[in-house]
Amino acid sequence: MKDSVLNDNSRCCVFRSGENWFGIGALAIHGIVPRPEIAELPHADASLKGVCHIQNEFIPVVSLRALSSIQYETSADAEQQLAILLSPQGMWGLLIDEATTLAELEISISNFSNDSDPWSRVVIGSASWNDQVLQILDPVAIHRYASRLLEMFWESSDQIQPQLTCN
Amino acid sequence: MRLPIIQIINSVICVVAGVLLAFAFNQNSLPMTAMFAAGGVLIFFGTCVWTWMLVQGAFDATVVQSRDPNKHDFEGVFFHEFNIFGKKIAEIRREHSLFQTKVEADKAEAVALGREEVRKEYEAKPSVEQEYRAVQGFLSGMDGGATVNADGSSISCLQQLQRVLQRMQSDVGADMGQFLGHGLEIYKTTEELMSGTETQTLVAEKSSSLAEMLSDRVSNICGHAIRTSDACGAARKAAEKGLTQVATLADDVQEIKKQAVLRERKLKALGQRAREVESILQTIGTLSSRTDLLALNASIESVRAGEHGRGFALVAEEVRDLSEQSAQAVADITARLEVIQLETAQALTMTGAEQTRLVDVIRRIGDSLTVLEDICKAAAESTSGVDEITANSDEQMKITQHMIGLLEKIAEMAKLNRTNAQGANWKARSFDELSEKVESTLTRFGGQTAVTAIGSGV
Repeated sequence: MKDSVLNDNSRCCVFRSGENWFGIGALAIHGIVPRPEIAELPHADASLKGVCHIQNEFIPVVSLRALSSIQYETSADAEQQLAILLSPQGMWGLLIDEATTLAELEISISNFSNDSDPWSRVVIGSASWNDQVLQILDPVAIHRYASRLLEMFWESSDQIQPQLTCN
Repeated sequence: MRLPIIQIINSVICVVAGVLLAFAFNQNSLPMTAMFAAGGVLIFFGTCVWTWMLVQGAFDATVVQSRDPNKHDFEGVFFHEFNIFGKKIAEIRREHSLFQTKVEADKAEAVALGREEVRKEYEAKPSVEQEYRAVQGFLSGMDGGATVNADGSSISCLQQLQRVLQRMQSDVGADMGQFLGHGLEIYKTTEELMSGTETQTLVAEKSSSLAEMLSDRVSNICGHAIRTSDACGAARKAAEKGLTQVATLADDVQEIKKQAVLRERKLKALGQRAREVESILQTIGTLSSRTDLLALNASIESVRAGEHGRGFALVAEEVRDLSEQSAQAVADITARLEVIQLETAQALTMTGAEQTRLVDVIRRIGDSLTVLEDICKAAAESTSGVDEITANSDEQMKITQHMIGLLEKIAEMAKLNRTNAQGANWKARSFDELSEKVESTLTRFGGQTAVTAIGSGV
């Protein structure tokens, strides 16, 4: 699984979310665009920011800040870019602050996982770049974790009839 | 004839004194007793003296001395002298008779001896008898034809002459007394006049000195007034010059204010341009970030392309470098532009403060203009007033000079009056000498006169 997300050269896209630096496999990224206009979904979890229209597709947009268990400080330029990721179910978007570069990293794979912290399953390792420690993320695990959160949210809110609003 | 009456009166007084003595003795009053006793003793002593004088035959002198010395001393002395004169005449007459007898005998002897020259000489000389007759005629002429006996008993005539002389003495004495009284008054008046004229001279001289001092002061005031007028004129000119300069300054400040307003507009325009540049830089920054993002996507695509995408990756990397340089340049320009905007804002703030200060300066310059105009008016009024003071001082100085001339004339007149008063004083003093002469002349007629009593006060 972990090998599938990292190619042989381990080229990762380095990006920043708040004060934290992350890396994600370049092959999993379809592209990075400025934050488009996002249509919010009513009665959705906080991690699901909404849907946006990119390249003739409506793709769901997930907030990395809301998804992770990391504490963020409020920043003015928070989540100004959207990283479009590829998954078997199609494209989806991950809101980040800034994509910096595409770098070849020496990744230290982490085998430790904490059941009590689902986010620990998303981070597959760490690397260093420009004196910064990067958390290398697994896009599939992120997608799965987000899907599970949404399912859990929607299951818990079955009693509530969702109403779509069109503005 | 008066002596027995006086003696009788003295006796009566002695008797009365004795009676009073007895009465006082009966009253047991010791002072009264002593006084009456003393009075009785004195009266008794006086009676004894009078008696002794009668015994000594000093009747005539006693009569003279019994009279009032203040009124009849001259008459008495004259009477006494005239009496002696009568006796001397009688003695001369007796001696003349003897001498006449002897002369007749000598003349008869000369005739007998044929010495005619001697007889003629005797006949040519007036006889003593003739001279005596001439004196008697003179004396009878003075008495209005009274006769004088050959034995010198011409008392009635002499008494008339004595009364005439007494009246003359009395009149001359009274007139001389009055004359001396007037002379004394003239002397005192001239003394006062001398003192007054001396004081007047001193006062006039002092007044003249004071008037000269006043003239000097007025002259000084005039000089000060002229200098003050000049100073006021200079102050007025300086104020007018200051007014002109302040007006020029006000124009300059107004121009500076206009320049400040223009500078503010320019600065605002510069800020606007800076904002426009900032907007452009934002656009450039956006383009740079888009370019960077595009290059990043290209790099991702090149990775996905594998070996075929290596060249594309190089281009994408180059583009990313360029975009980063552009972003860096934009950041530098933005930083500098921020500094420019900050400094422009500060310059605007300073310009606003400067304009505020300029408005205040213009207001104060307006106040200064008003004050300088007031100073000009005041200086003009002061110059006019000081000129008037100068004219008045000139007039006052002329009046003072005239007054000095008058005071000098007064002083000269006072000196002349003093000289005249001194002359009058000396003449009044000569009255004293004249009175002494008159006194000595009157003394020939006898005793101390009223003139002496009055003249002794001079």
